[in-house]
Amino acid sequence: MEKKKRTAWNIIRVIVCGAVLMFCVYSLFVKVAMENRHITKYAMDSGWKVTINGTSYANVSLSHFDKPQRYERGDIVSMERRLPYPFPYHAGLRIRVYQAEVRVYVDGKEIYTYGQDAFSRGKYLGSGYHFVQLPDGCGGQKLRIVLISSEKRSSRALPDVVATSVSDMYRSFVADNIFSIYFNLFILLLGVVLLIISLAFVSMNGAYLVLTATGLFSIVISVWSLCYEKIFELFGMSPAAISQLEYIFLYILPFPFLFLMLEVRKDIPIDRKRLLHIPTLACACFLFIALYFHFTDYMHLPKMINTYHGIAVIVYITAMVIIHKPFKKQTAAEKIFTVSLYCLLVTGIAEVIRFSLQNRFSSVEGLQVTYFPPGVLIFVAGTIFSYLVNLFRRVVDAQEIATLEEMTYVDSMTGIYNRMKANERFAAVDQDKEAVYAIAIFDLNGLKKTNDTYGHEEGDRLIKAMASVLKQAFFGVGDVFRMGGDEFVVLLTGDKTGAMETGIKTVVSMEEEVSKDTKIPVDASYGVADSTEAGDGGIEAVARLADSRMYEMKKRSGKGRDF
Amino acid sequence: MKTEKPHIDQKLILRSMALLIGGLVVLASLFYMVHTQRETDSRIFSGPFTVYDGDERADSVGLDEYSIDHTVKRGEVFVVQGTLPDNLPEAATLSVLTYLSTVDVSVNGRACYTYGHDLYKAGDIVGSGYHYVNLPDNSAGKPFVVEITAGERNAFTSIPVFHLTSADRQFPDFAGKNFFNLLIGIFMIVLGMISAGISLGLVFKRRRYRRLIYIGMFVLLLGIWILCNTKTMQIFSTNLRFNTILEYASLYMAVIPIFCLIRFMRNDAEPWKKYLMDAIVVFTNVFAVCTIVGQASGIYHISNWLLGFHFECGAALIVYIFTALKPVREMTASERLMNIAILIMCVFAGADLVRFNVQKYIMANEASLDMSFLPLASLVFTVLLFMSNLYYFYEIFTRQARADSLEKAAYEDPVTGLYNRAYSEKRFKELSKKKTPFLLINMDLNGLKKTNDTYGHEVGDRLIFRFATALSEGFSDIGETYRMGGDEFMVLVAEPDMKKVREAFQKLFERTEAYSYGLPTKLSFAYGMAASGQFEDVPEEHEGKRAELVYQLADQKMYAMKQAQKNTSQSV
Repeated sequence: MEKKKRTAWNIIRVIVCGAVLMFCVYSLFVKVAMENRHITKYAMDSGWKVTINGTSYANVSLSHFDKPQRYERGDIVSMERRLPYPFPYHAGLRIRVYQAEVRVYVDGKEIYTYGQDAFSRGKYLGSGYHFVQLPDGCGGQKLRIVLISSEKRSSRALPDVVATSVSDMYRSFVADNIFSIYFNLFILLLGVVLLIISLAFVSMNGAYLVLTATGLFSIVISVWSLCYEKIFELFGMSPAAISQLEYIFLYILPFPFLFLMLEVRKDIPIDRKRLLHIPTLACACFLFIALYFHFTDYMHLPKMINTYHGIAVIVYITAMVIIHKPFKKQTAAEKIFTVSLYCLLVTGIAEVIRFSLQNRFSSVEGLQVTYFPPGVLIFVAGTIFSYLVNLFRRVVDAQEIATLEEMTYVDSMTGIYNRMKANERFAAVDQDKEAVYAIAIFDLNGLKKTNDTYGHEEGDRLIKAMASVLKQAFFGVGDVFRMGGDEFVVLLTGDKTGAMETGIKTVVSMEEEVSKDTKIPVDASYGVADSTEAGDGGIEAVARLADSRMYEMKKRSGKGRDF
Repeated sequence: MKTEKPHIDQKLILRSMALLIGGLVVLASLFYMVHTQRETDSRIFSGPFTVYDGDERADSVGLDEYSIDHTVKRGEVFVVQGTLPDNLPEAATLSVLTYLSTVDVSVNGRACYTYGHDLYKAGDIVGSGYHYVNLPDNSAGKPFVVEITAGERNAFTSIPVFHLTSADRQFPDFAGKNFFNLLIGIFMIVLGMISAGISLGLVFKRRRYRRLIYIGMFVLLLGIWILCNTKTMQIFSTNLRFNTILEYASLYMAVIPIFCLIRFMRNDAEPWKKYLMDAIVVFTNVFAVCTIVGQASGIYHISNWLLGFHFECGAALIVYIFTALKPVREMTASERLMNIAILIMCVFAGADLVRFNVQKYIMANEASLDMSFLPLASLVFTVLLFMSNLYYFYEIFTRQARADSLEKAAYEDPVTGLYNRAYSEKRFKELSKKKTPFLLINMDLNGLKKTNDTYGHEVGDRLIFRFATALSEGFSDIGETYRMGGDEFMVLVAEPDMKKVREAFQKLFERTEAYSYGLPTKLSFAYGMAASGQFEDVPEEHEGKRAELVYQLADQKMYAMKQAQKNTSQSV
């Protein structure tokens, strides 16, 4: 009944939580998507007159046009068409441009320029979206976009142009990229949190460095992705700044990756670890040279992408060689990590292929979709999960060892420490000649008689009862040991020594209490001695003294062991 | 005895410091870039204007100085009249922040923006948020009028200052200002969704995942509230009415999981405390449902419950202090972490409540009070909450591992490492309940007693150990191997495949042959086999003893074989 009730409540709980969860998903994504459906994008893809370096093409569709060769620096592309009519009174354009200076004219009047100055100085212009506000009420007027390519052999594509009302200019971009925004900002802050938390703990235990590495990797890859998808433009960064950031973060990605590889397997032999010097050094040199070339404008960052891909392959192969271990021999945690690493590898390679294909055949549909983010998410989640599995595995092992160790020190019948532990503790206390301690020795009366009369089972019950009495009476004050047979020892040390008297009083009163359940009353003789009586004999002398006092008591009460 | 000094790894600390500094430099430069790369032409536009409050008129007053000295009534109209500056950008946007009010803007006598009158007339809730008014061409130096009509009683206590930007910079300006809020809000939403979603599936398996559901739901709702409350939600949706409803609904719902969590964690409290905590949970639930139903059915606007909500939180907090708190000494580490988290959150929430009310009622136009620190506090709270939960799992796992290893030790035969008789009894009970078929093979090592007597126990033990090794090599792939005591062994094969059993026997025979090397007597054994299928229809009263019966049968067969072996050897 009780169980059924609990299950019913569980189902209710899950349904309610699930409903709220659904409501949240609905509000954040479905409802928002519905809100944003009213954003009208005006068809601007077709009907362009394009002039490239003097050669004209009529009635061009932007997404289906591929220039025969890649653009060279200084190539001038001029695109003309009429703005649609009807058209919003306050309207704006979103133009995706690759590494070019941009000028926009409406009715012959220049309304937007980008990068004129930087172009003439040979600076890097970057790729990205240009958000252009059109003059009020310009529907039906003539629009001319002029691009001047700033790099050698850049893309072959024409820009992508979207027109909306000015208030929807950015929002339509948000609506198109909503999942990417959620995903990447989440990974970014996750990385920051992991980094800070792990570094707070890392001085305690080197194992946390895996989390540090995961955090760094997450930060770098999410920033790269935010730049790659140009999401930072929403926050007002210029295309040039974002593109530079994009390539810099891409080029430093191998460092956290290699660092992670190094940390994730602690058992790599040292000579294999040395292999890592080569790719690390290669990456460092590459990064340094790339940055130097870029900022002296000898060669801009994107030009070095092919070299980078080569280095990335080397990095990946070395990493794989270094952490290689037959899959069968891997622990569960390592298997999880390996699988997520393969996910990253597969999606990464797919991404590189997609990227180069898109560069070559920009007009082919379906090449715009990237599957890299899911790969990244799986990798990051897999790494964290594998870390947790590993951590729990270690806990289990440590517990098993602790249990085994403890078992040699614990009396199996009563669960309290045995003679071996007592000897060890005594020796430890005796190290310090100034130590303050007290010892009480208890001897159960009438155990032999009980064994003989009622059988060993009853005798065992007596011993267990005595052990539990002692345990409770001295809980939190001192240690209780069963020395074997019917003999128990209590050891109090330091400032707890004074608690002996109250402890013994408790024992005596509790003995009566538990005797109700046993056939023979639980009753023990005892003797107490403390460190002030030690003399030169140390703890042994004190124990002997307590023992003799116990015997005296036994004799007095007439309950001697063998009488 | 050697005393161990705490081991400090200098290299590790150096390395981690370098990493920390490196990471922070990267981050700092990133945020610096996001913030400085913004080209903003946004400027405050606060007057002096002429402000009409009904018939009351205040001349040439700045909006940052203007304050309303009475509670705003529903339908009360505030009109701000002024002149636009001469140096306007060509396409300029006037941004106006309002709370629960309709807005009309006209320039030079021509209306150019209106919001919320349809909602107001229908008696619906009018949203809060930023309004971006695209000013017509050549508005520079022209007069403008902004008319704000309060949609609720006490909707606002001041008129926030206006801002002027060029139309194309307005969005990045807004998003850039709210970058941190967006980051934190999204982080909390995704984290909450992931943890609640995963643990919803797991909760039937293990009760403990309920904590994770509560934490996840709380973090998710709080994240939504942060997005809405800071108006960052406008990045995604311009439906101010919906954003506002979402803001209040998520706030009212967010406290439920946290009180559920506290109640769940304090299941060990005295009954009266549990009843009180139950009462809070029920009350917060009823409150949230009432507000949402009231809003959905149009009876009562969700925003009007805010004061009630503050009282609810205050009361619940007091009850929490008296019921759920226990002495710090008695807390486990995870509980301590959790309480620290709640304490931090309470301090911040309290401070924010003070800030909110100070800003609303006392220092209406103090710009420094605009910045809510709740997002950051929520982030810290979230992280601590998850860490506390992780630590809780860690504690449980440690305890579990300990119990498991003790159990394992209790069920293991110390000499051979095989299972012992105690474990067989446990397994018999389990098997008798289930319907799975199984096979028992009893074995008896020959000549142990004679070996013990002639060569001593040491050699006898070696005999046992050798045989146990052979047995587990033969059978451990297909079943469980036991030492039942002395020279008796047993194999339990669940869902037996006879071909494999035969192979295992073959292997066992080979191994006993091989392992007999160096022993005074050759390893040999008698065995008997019985399967559960032979006791398919035992009488009901023996149902629980099925395995026992199988065992007895196997034993009988083994003895028969033993007898036969003896007879043979004697006859030889």
